Amino acid sequence: MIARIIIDLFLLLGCFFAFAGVVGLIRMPDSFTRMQSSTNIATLGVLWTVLGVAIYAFMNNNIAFGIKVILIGVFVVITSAISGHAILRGAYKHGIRPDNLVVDEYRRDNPDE
Amino acid sequence: MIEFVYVGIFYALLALMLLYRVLKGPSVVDRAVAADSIDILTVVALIVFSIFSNRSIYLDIALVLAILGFLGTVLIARYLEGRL
Amino acid sequence: MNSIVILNTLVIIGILISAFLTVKFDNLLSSIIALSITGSFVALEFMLLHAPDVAIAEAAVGAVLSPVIFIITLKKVKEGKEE
Repeated sequence: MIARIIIDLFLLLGCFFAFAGVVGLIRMPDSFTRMQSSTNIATLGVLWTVLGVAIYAFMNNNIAFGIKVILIGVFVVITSAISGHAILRGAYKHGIRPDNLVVDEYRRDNPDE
Repeated sequence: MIEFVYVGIFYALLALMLLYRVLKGPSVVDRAVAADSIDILTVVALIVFSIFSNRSIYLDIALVLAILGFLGTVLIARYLEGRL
Repeated sequence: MNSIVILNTLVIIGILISAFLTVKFDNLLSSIIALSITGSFVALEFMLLHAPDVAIAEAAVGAVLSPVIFIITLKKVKEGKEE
């Protein structure tokens, strides 16, 4: 019974973080802040839900299911970091800048690009 | 005690809400970021539905989407960068 | 049984909206992004109908492979136009 309460808590935390990420992705004013809010979904929102599902699978003696679910969580976290970095570089080189840009350290470090 | 189907319905509703950003995004970058988030939400809905129906073979679809889903976003970034 | 019907309805609404957006956009790159979203929703719908083999093929081809091929085609067509 206590494990079921822990699983429900993990599922609720995952739903809350995914909802916060979606609201940030819809209502943020700028393109770069929207990217920051989209990584919130991929890390926290997925990780809590995957942990809850894996605990439920391990509790029902379904070991292969739990290991596969944890593998999916690891892959999602790794590929989210890669795709976020790539799309940020692409947006900068395409000419999109933030609204209130004060200091541009990427341009200062790489003046020839 | 939360049924797993309701969590799946919630994630599908979130993916449906993100279509608004795909419709109204001012640039291509916003649409690409929203598409990546929709892919990830679909993966979570697949995991939750597969543990609801208690079949282990349904989890392979989520594995394929999680491994291959980022290739489109990386290729769009390379296209915007100008060196494909 | 009732909650499965609700989930099916939401996914079918997503398929219809994203397929309409694919036709509506003027920019070709945005249209390719909407096509990738359509493939992902269709894979989810195939799994809700208990067809996992078709869903694996749809997730590999419709959500990943065809947008990649379309982006490469778009790049090559724009290269040919500049010359």
